[in-house]
Amino acid sequence: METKRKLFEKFIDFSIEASIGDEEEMYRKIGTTKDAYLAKKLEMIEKLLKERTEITGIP
Amino acid sequence: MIYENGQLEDNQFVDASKHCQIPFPDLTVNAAEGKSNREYSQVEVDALLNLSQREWSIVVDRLFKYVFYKLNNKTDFGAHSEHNLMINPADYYVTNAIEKLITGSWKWKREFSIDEQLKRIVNSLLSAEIRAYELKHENENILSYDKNPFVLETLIDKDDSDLNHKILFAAMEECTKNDKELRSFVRAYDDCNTFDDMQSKLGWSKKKLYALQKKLTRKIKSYLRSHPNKQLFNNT
Repeated sequence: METKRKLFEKFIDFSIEASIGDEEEMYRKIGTTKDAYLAKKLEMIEKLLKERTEITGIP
Repeated sequence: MIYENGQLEDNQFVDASKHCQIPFPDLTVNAAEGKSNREYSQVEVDALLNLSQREWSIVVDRLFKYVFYKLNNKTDFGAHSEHNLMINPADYYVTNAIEKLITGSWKWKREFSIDEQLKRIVNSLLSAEIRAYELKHENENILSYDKNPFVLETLIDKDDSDLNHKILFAAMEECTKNDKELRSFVRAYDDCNTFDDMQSKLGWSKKKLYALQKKLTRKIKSYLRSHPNKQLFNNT
């Protein structure tokens, strides 16, 4: 069953890549660029991880 | 992109993280009680903290593509529309999934990678949004993409079920049995994790590989549409 699950995941991943083609176009559709979008999300992730560390004391 | 005084602003990216922040509900209580958070152990926290910026970029990019693919043709109206979510739908789901994962408001299953955890969160968020939308509009005769999804989309929406994996596997076998080229393409799935791997293995151009993948998806959709659910389930 693990093999079938992996096959399923590959099918979806490959379908995504084949259908998207131009990934910059995908980001343009939401009014941004790939670099700008990823930079914003990395900033958000860094902030969330910092807050998490401050609250939980982990690590 | 967002509504200001009832007006829709176009061509302006509005970062969803400014609009849909999820609090850290349990963690503060745990910290006050002198406990580490109960949701995640050190293993999960390490998994999150050990990812480099480059790795996070890859994770976010893959997640964005996954969400974008899943939302294809579903955002003009209905549960996943910008009108309903009040923010760009793809960014809404990506941001919420990341927040849920990091804040611990998600039940982490160790058998799944961070990539997979995030995809599972997205699936759960998409389903929750559809349920909420249907509840809100239950007395209206609304036209919705969500009411009659194609079978393939249904399988993808619930992609953690063993039965769905079996159905796709059976459909793939059936759809490639009389097509030698497509059969070779699908056999290469076993040894290849990317189209670059496939290119090396089969010696075919990426353009051809993309075309074969699209052909495979089309054939599987058509096969699933033409077979009633009952028959599909009996064949697996």
